[in-house]
Amino acid sequence: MRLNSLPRWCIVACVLASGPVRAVDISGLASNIPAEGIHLKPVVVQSSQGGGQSLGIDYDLSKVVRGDIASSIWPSSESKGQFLSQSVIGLKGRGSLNSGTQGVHAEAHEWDITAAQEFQSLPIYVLVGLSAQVQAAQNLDRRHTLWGMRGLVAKASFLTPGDTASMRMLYSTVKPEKDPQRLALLGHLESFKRWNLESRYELPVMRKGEKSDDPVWQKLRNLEFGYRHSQEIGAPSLVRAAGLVQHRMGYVRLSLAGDYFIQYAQGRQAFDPASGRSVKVGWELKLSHSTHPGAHELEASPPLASS
Amino acid sequence: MTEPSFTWTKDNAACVATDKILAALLQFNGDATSFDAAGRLPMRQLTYFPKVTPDAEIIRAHASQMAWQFCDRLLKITRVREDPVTTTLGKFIGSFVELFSNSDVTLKDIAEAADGFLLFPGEKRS
Repeated sequence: MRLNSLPRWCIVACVLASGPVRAVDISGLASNIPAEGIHLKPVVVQSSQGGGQSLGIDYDLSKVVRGDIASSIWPSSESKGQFLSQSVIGLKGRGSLNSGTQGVHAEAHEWDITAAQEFQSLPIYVLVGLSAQVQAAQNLDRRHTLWGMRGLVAKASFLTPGDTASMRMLYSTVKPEKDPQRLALLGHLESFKRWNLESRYELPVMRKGEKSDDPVWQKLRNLEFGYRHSQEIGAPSLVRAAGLVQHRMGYVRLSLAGDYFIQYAQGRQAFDPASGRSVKVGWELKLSHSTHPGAHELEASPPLASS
Repeated sequence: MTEPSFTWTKDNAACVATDKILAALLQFNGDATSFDAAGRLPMRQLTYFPKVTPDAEIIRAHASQMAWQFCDRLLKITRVREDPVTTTLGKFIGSFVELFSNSDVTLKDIAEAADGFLLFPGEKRS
């Protein structure tokens, strides 16, 4: 059986985007990232103000070790065939590196180590554990370390048949190691508490046994909604006034037959250099494949139009 | 010596079951997709698969739910091929979770795994 990944060239058109520095990424096409391994993709980082460009590389790596380490504490992983339980230790890293030529710099890194216990069953998937992260952004003048508790739940057939919903939560203590913005506001860099929430909802467009002769309707496949929210708890009024208390990002994506999609996103994440609104219309081309497992993926994303 | 390669065909009950179950779970548009084309569908195009900047953790959570739903329906019409005592739940569902987690695995690969594990109606233990 073939389980290896296939490298692919991808092309996407960014029809509209705004923000001081824009990484012309193809995050909408990240669905071709297999579950684990190292993935690199070239990106063009572009300033919408000066028109400067610099070349960069986005990386995404992940390694997960699973085992029945905690089976002496938790019920046996295969008791009665109703659920499976496993211990998970995972290391994740994602971010981007770039040359910073012409003053365009949008470097960002996020590293995460997690120890968790996973419970799989027919009605629900649950993962609970502890997590430590390092986040750095924009020329590395901002760096936060954080540690806390995390949880992830997923459920299929949540509201209607065929859908899947998931929610990931993180409650953490954040230590701002470097943060000129906070330092200027508060005069100190004390730790604070924060919670993060990330939810997704996948929904089929088609209905069972419902036939339509409309060619457009037949091309529609599924919808994905996503929402991410991070909120500082008990933030000082100065931080509140500067609008640094919460970061929100939402998107909706309509997948069409084949690898086509239409995507709209709005908002900003705490450590995301790109911000504002964007609409993407994209497609994916498979030009070659290899049988080497873990082969790097190469993706090209020419900026076709920008606002 | 290599094993004969598995083919996606209507004559194989595992292929028909995979096609029917995933279409019934509304993972792809069964009405607009021919049987032959369904065999080539990759997991990343199915409804459950997270499509916008997913990471391995999120993909696995969604894939786990889909694998359990799929296996639940499959086990209602089949029996385990090997000795049920040696084919544990972890080995059985765990394999499908791995498959559903991989964006490039196709329906044909899922059917091949199902055929390897299970006896479909009319099949006998060899």
